Amino acid sequence: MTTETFSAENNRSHLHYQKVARTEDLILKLKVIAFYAGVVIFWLVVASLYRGFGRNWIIPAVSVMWIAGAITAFVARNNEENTTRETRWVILGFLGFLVLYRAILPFIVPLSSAQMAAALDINIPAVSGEAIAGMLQSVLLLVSVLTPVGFIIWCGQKIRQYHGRRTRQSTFEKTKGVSRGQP
Amino acid sequence: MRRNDNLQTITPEEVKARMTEAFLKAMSERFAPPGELFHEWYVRNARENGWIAKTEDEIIEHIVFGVVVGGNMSVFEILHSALVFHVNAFYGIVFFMQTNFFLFLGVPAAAYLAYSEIRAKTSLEIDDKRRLG
Repeated sequence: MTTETFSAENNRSHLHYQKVARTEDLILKLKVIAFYAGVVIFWLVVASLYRGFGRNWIIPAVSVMWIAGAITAFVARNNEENTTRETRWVILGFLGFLVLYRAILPFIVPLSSAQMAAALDINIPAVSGEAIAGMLQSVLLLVSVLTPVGFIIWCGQKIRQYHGRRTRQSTFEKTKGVSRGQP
Repeated sequence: MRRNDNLQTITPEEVKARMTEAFLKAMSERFAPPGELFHEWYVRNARENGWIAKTEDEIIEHIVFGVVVGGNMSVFEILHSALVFHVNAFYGIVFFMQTNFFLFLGVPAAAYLAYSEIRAKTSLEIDDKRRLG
């Protein structure tokens, strides 16, 4: 256990602050690092599952999401912890969707409309069997494109909200005549 | 029937020595001139015909550039293998960086986020033991 002690050297020198590095802190740090490392490894695994699509789209898209989250956490300091947590959960969810999609895709694609019609005992037009492959492709493209775009928009909104709040706060301060000690 | 107990106590080294002796004897009878052992005749021939090194310089040249008898690698071969290994490794790294360029932007961003989250979480854990007295 390391202990740092700060004492104020002023007229009230009996004031002491202590910052203690405890075991819980260490475990918390290790947990956070392990989580982020796990997400990064998961990211690489998912990208390798998608081969060319993973290398050309998933890695850049998730990179852009990480960078947007980092910039937002750096700029909007009042929401730092929230931003980091939501960034990693959004990325983990995105990657989780991609993994599930990759896992179930081989089972869905070979199903013909005749098989489906026989299984469900209903009439299905033969054309819909061809359309389903295109729909799966569209779903993958839409999700993999719109999730990063939506996340970036969310980050931008957060930064904008932070600046708006600051502007409002400074306006109130000016109106009330509160000085921050700066000319 | 008489059992040969010596067969059970003979060591592998003795077996090897006896086999070598028998082999050399047979080869000497077959190839070597009378009164000379096979391996002596073979080495003499090799030296005279230049099959193996004769002078000290030739031996050093043999060690550096040729294959040393006994299965060890020569200095040239060791350096060449090391060169090939490292060129391949650096090429692999460069290829990885080329194909995963965005990874090298995303991973530092993730690291910054981890740092930021740790800072945000642990900064709330300061023990403020204020004493007035």
